[in-house]
Amino acid sequence: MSKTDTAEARVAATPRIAPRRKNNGRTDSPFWAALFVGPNVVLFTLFMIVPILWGLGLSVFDWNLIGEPRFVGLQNYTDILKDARALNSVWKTVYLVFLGVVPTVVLSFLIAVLINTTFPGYTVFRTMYLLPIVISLVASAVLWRFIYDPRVGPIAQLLSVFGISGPNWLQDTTWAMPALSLVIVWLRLPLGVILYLAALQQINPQLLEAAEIDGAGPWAKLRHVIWPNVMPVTLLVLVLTLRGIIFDSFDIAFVMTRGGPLNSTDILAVYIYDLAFAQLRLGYASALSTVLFVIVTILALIFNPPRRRPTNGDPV
Amino acid sequence: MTKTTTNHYMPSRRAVLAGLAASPIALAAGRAFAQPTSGTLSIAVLDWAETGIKPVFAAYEAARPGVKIDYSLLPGDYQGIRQTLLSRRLANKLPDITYLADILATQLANAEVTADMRPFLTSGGPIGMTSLAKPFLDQYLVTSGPNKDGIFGLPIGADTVVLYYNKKHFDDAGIPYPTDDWTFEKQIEVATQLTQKNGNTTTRYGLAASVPWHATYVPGIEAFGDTLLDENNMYKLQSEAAIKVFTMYWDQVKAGVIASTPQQTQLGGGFQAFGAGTVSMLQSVRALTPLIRSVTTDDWDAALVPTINGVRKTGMGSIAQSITTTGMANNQELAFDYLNWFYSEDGGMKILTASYGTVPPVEALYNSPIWTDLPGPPYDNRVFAESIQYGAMNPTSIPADVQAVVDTELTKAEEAVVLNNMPVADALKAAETVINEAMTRVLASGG
Repeated sequence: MSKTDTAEARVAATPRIAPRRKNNGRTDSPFWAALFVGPNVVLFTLFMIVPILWGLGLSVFDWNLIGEPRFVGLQNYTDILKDARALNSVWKTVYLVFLGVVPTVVLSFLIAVLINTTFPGYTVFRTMYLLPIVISLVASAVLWRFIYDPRVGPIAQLLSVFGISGPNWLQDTTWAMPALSLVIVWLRLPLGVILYLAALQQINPQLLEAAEIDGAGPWAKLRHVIWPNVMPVTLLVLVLTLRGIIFDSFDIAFVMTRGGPLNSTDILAVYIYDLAFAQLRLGYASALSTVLFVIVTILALIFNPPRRRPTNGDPV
Repeated sequence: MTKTTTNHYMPSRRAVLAGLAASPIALAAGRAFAQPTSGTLSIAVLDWAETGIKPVFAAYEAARPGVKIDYSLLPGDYQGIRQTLLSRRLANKLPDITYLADILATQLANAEVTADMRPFLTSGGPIGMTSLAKPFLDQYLVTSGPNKDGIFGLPIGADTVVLYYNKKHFDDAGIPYPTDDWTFEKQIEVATQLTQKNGNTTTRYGLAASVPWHATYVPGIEAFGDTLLDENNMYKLQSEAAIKVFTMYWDQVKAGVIASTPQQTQLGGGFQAFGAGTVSMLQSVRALTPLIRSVTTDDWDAALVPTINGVRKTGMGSIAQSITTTGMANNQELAFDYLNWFYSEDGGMKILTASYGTVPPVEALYNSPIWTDLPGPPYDNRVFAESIQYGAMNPTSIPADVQAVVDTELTKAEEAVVLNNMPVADALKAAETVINEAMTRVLASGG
């Protein structure tokens, strides 16, 4: 008998009861659904949907917050193609994503596997890994700016023990972006670790025991049992990291390098900020934000395409 | 005195109507200048000025029982000030009086954030058109557009760039302190002697000077007998004077003798680096003296900036305060009274200067003991007043939107020269192209 057959049989065996109230206390009344979902819908609309639509509308205007907005059609979008700094910013953003996403996913998974066990003081150990999530981004940036200091920073001190004179990490066009990406990976790790830990604890221990009985070693279990079981979470971590790096890296980049040196860390978020709040070119900044939004949406759909929720025949 | 973190002050409709109805009467009776006995004055101040201004507010409230000051904070940089004030104007929540920066005078006037201060200066009160130091008042004189000839700010201090120096570093190296006859070459010679290195890494800079800051390059260009802008308001960074000035500074940044702007940022800012003894000399302004005093443990003093090409020129500027359009419409009498009291020798100025952060922008007070007799450091307060005659100002015709591009492009040019060994002329040419494109675009859209 197939799994579907079993499910169908179970459904067939389920006694028909009044739909008004089920065993778990749920009701079909739309009132309760509206009551619980409503506030979120209102807030989401107010702070997400409306600003997105507003930004979209603004992107076809030229406005500096002072005079009257002037309709310019798609000119802001065509200007992007002629703007060397904008194209450089797109490239730098892609570079940061490349440097940030893969290490975040891989390290989150490995750390989660390593700390998904119990030993004396394991909660302290887990908490240490989660600390970056509670430190403000600006404070983190200032902290790391000190760590990268070529004179007194810990990295420089450590290298000097071995007689190595390291570069000025944040003032070197080659090293500035990798240095930023390290901070961003450090900041994004906790969320990945939390999600992976939750996923690891959902794996049926019997699967691992069966693999062991079949002679699987730690690597084989990791590759053939654990990794496939956490694949949905991997996709989630991937999308969240991607979104986080593109949208939430502004604080770090702005505080640590302000897009320099020589625009080597001039990611789109920094350039958009400069356009909107330093140059007051709100229309053009909105057009660039819209482009960024579209890029992220496409990437998210590629990595995590929408699919029908598997119901296994369960009448949800 | 109350502090509003999210400005909620909104005059009631009744208050507005009452104010409007009473305004002719107030105007007629204005010459009498009776002190207001009640009311609330809302003032937006820069965040870094909060500590110094709070005692001023408290003293005004003590002098005018029944009057309350409701203050809120603005970001400390001109972009943040502009963003906040424009947002508050759009939300119809402007304070009665606001701080602003010189670069914003025209833009905030055009945006109807600030009101023309000539009615105040000609109202017959103690503070008139000739009371405030002209060079600083002129920063807020709008020279073009719909508000031409209006004055849209009153300077709060008479700030010029002076040379702060760490006396201990000089003593340890056996070098005499800076004197009035110092030249730029002499300054660099001493800065080189004071610079300390570990391999290729500078551990102590002889001098901290932000080269992409207008208060550094404008005086230099003027010292070489040229101007920053041409007759069409376009930047001329390809001029011989501009290339000479940027070259002489950037050569020393490359040599690790002068700390560049990013290097200063990495050190926590110029005054922090000076305080920590990581730089021996710092070109900065009086406004930062309270911070320098609070972080510097070694003894220090201030001197005149050295001459360049045999000419002494120094950067000058001031933050200002202005009555807003809202304040002028609804709370003019109280705002006038506060400003008259603020600039008096026994009123706000006495309290403000006691914090070490202000040279009074009132010519009559340049040598007043209220600030010159403050115990050192700095000991030589003469230099702050004397520098004013050498002041070279960033042209007021530069729109704030363009200044943002200038700051970015000159920083990038510095990086290209220092990190990539790009010739100074090439780096300036690249910067000039982008800056003048921005200038053309902004001027075409009305500035």
